[in-house]
Amino acid sequence: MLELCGVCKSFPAKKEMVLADISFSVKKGEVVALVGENGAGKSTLVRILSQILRPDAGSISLDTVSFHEDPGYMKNRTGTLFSGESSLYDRLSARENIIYHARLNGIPKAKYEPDLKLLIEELSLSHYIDDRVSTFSRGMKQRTAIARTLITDPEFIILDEPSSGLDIIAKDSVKAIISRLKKSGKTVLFSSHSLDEILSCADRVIILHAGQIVCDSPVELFQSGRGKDITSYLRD
Amino acid sequence: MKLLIILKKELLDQVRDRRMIIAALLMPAVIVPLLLFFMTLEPSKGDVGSKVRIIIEKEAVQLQNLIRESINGIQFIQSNAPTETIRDGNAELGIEFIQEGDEYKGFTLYYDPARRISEFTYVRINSLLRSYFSASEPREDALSVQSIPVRSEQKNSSLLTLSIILPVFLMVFSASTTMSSVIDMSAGEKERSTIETLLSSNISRRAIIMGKTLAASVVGITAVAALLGGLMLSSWFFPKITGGVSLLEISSPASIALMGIIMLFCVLLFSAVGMSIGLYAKSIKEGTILTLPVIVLASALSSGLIAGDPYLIDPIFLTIPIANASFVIRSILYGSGSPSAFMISIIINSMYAGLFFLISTYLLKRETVINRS
Repeated sequence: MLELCGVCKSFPAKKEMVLADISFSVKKGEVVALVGENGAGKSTLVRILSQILRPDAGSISLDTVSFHEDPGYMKNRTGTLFSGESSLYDRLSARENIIYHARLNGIPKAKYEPDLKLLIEELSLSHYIDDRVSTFSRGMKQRTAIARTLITDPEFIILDEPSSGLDIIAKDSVKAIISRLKKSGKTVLFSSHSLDEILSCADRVIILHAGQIVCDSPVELFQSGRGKDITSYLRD
Repeated sequence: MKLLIILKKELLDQVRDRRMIIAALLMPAVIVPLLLFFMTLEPSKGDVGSKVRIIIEKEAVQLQNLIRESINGIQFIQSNAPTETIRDGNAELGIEFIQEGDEYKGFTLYYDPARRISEFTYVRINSLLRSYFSASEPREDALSVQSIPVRSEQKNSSLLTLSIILPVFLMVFSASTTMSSVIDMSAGEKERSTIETLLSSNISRRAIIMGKTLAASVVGITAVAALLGGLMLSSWFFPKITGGVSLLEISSPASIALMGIIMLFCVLLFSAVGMSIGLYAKSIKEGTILTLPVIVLASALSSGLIAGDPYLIDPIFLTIPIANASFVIRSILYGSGSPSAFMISIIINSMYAGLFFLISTYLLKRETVINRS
């Protein structure tokens, strides 16, 4: 289980806190959607969970193992897809990008080879897996980046806007992947601007507004129409 | 092991970059011999005869014939102001003389030492006049002085050429290729946003820096090998480009290997400096701009001790990075390579590389490196 307690973050260039007193937990096998307008602090939270940024205050633990005490524990069990550009090496092929990430994380060849075959099939990468990334469209890059995130077979998966820049078919395959991860008992935290994706994939929705959690509810609340509309939380 | 994974990936990435292949292999191997070839197109001492204009104050048939017989292609011209005429580039030499009857009592030669052809003409004419008009019979009590150079004229010329150009070219090419490569590996990671994925992987930041620094050093040392290899081959087939004697005839393969070892530590230093700059810079463009002063500094440091003696150096200069390596390369060329200077150069350059490695580690550990505004 992932637990965050009182996480705060600010940057010297900004006066306000980017994240203020963020506390929530994600159970094993749960799929949580992180929702918020641009600049709400989603990507900062993702970076903190990926240990790129250190929080100013608060604690984070995975399976009761604290971030500070054993940073490697969480790194070994987490796979992150960052938002924005797909962050791939242009002069390497898709396969080389994926394998490089697997090897950096200490995954042996015997383990990543069958997983790569599965991901190639699932994400329809077979036609361009050995082509250089410099020739790829945005969608092809995003699929490759998703495959790279999942090649380490992480227990806890963070996907920051995974369907950004993808066409309808590719968006469907992202939804299928999240569903597959959920079935296989993986814990997923994903941020998205797509209501359809949130409502069809998530078990729970956490809404961030101006660096604070304004809603943490089961997805059914939004599906049934009993609760407020998601966008209503984002308006001041 | 993870360091090796990074090293292997970075080298693969660099090998696939056509610009890097051109910068690290083709340019040092081809440009330097080409540059030397064009330098040899300048008139040498033997070519002075062609199109040389000499001002002579009045008709002096005997003198003019003597000069014409000795040097081909001389044109005699008249001028009332030889100094101005030569300074304006309208003549290469001026001759004034004192004559008593048919006998010449003295000569005054005007020339421009800032112009190579003027200086060469002066040397030739001066020598000709001295040998012809000096007393043919030496006095019995005259002291006999004989001068014997310790090297042939060709070897002297080659040594001078190589000791001037080799350290400078080695430093400039290795600095530019190493740093452009390491900037691509550091600032480029930020520009491509690949740094986030890299930092979220289970690998220490020190290993990341070490792997990338070593990979850039491989690129730099490839440029050094290409430069030395290109110069060895081209001067072997066209010794004229190095002044008449090839690099391999001046320095043995073992000596050239020693130069390579010295350069390895300079390359390591350039790589570590470039890594610090690349981690500070936000983009490849910013990083490249920031490395330019370092390349200029490397060039200045490598040429700083050129005027000095290749055998003697004030020990204080050996503490200056790059300049010490440049001195060692020159002394190796002269066949004197002192082991203590060699070791001091390696230690000093390694120490500076270590310092910049620590700076790079500090920069990568700072979170603001990633989101620097």
